[in-house]
Amino acid sequence: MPKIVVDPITRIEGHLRIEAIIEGGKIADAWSSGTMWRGIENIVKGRDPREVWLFVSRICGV
Amino acid sequence: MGTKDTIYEGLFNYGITRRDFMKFCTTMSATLALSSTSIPKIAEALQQKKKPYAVWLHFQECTGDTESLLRATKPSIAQIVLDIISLEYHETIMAGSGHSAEKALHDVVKNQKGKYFALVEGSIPTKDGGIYCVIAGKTAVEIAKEVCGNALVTINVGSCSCWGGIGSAKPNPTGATGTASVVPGIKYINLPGCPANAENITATIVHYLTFGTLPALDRYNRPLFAYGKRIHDNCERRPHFDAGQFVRKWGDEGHRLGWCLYEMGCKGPMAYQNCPTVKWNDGISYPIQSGHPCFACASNDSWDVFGPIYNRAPHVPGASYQATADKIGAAVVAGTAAAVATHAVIRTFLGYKQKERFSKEKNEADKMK
Amino acid sequence: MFDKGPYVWQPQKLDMFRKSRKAQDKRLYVWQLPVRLSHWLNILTITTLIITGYYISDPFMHAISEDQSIMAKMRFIHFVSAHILIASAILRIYWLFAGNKFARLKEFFPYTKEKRKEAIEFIKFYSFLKKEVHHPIGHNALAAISYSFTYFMIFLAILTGYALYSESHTGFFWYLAGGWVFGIISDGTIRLIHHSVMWVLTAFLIVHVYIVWLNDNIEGNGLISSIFTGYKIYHKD
Repeated sequence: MPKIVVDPITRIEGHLRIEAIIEGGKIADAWSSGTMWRGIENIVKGRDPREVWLFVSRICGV
Repeated sequence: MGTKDTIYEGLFNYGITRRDFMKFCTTMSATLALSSTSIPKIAEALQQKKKPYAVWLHFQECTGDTESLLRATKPSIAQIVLDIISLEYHETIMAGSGHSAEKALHDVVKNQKGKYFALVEGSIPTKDGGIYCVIAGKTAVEIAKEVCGNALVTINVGSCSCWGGIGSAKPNPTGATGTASVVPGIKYINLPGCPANAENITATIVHYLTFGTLPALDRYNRPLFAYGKRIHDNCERRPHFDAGQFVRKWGDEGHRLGWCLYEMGCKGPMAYQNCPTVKWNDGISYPIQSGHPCFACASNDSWDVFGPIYNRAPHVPGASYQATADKIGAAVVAGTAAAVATHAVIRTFLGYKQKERFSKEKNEADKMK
Repeated sequence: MFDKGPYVWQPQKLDMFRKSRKAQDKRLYVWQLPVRLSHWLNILTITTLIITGYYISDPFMHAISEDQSIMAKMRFIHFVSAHILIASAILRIYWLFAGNKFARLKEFFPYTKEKRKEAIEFIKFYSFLKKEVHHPIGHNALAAISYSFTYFMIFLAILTGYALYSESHTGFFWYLAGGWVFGIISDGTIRLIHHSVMWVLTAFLIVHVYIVWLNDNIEGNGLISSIFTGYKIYHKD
């Protein structure tokens, strides 16, 4: 049962890893992992609510 | 990508005319704050030099800096950048993925060792062995050490790769930091900003291609041509500041008339970047011109030390976001005044041993004369 | 005009400072002219700096037309006052070495054990635990500590102020005056310190004026008038 790993997935924002198990030419099982985390939800705790938009907009620049 | 013709030939094949090319060299010279004698030098360098190799690394980023670079509607600055350098690896726009992408990166690092540009976008996490950013099974720390360690020069694009950026704001859950602290001893230049301005990125590369050196840097390794002047000193709303005309509420009369945003928390007096002159999106506008205060995105004080972006008074570290220096200071002074008043009242009742002050008769000393 | 009549200057009535003296009182020259001059320059400049400084941080007056230049004028007055304050500081530092014994560094730091005991005595006095306390001729030890703390605050304000000044006034001189501070602490911290000192000095002003009045009231030693004339009056006790 060959396993393929595609890391990095390109032409996206962020970092994605796809692993899949191939059985008889079909994908039998697959996993996806987002391999990057910054914790912006933790960072905005305790901050002025008027500026939260500034922080969370930096989750994705696209 | 990866052709071996010169920069000028590449542009010519792309359809850029000689006239456009010279216009580009002139713009670059102006952005770099060089005299007009450097225009032919830039043109000559770009005509003769072979396209240098470059790789663009993404770490803990939002891809905003890439978007900034790609935000060109005319065939001008940003698109020329993509044909001036031979960009071998860029996770957002490259065709290959997985193994073929990694092979492209390894080929450049191996074959062009010491000769390629490394452009880095995004911070590098250092906590817990750096597992908060893993690409192709390698942590960001390992990739940075390998790729930046073997590069000709590292260009840190955006605040995140310069000093940690938003990921490093309190409480910095991942230990995010900039490239320079993870890979000590490399030759690097910082182009902070959230995102960085495409014009500044292009100008830095062109400077290096023309003169073979990095432009003059300030104490934070930022090029002086882009980060040498304060936004406050170049702002078009400065006369309103000096007059004393400030916006008080969003949408009020002053806001409509374009008055100064100082009271809305503008960090222009602390921000160093060329936003008022170079502007964004091919010179259309920048935050202050559009009516929103600057938050000093290129400064590593912007997320925590300067305090909430709409507050004018400085933020006291350790206190909640509502306790500004003014509130705490006023409370201290009021407390002192209250304590003094209480003391005066208590003193009247409890009393001190009063020394005899005035003699009841006329001045005895004078009498004796 | 100056002969007898309702407008004759009567020295005895105006000579308030001598009124309270008894035969055994001593009149001592304590505060020399440069000390008093520096003190009054400090008061004038620091008050101006606090008012203009507060305006700069929180503009409480808005202009109506573009022809006005309120903020620009406030900043100008702030900068001029700051330069005068530095002149006063230089004068006072020089006088630390050139002045009489009441102008020396000893008056600002309680070096000896007796002086430290004196500080504690004064703390007890101000907390109503003691009914009276012996006042030395110069600064008492608690006053000495509070003044050196205040001068340190003023020094911080001047240093951070010139650091901020060097942001818009380039050149090696301003780098020396304060620009080098940016290499140690960041812009935001410099502004926080500069702003906070304003509040500390305001609190000090309230406490200082009250305590000086309190001591003059209790001791009858002409403390308040001494900062004008330089003379303190001591009873024989």
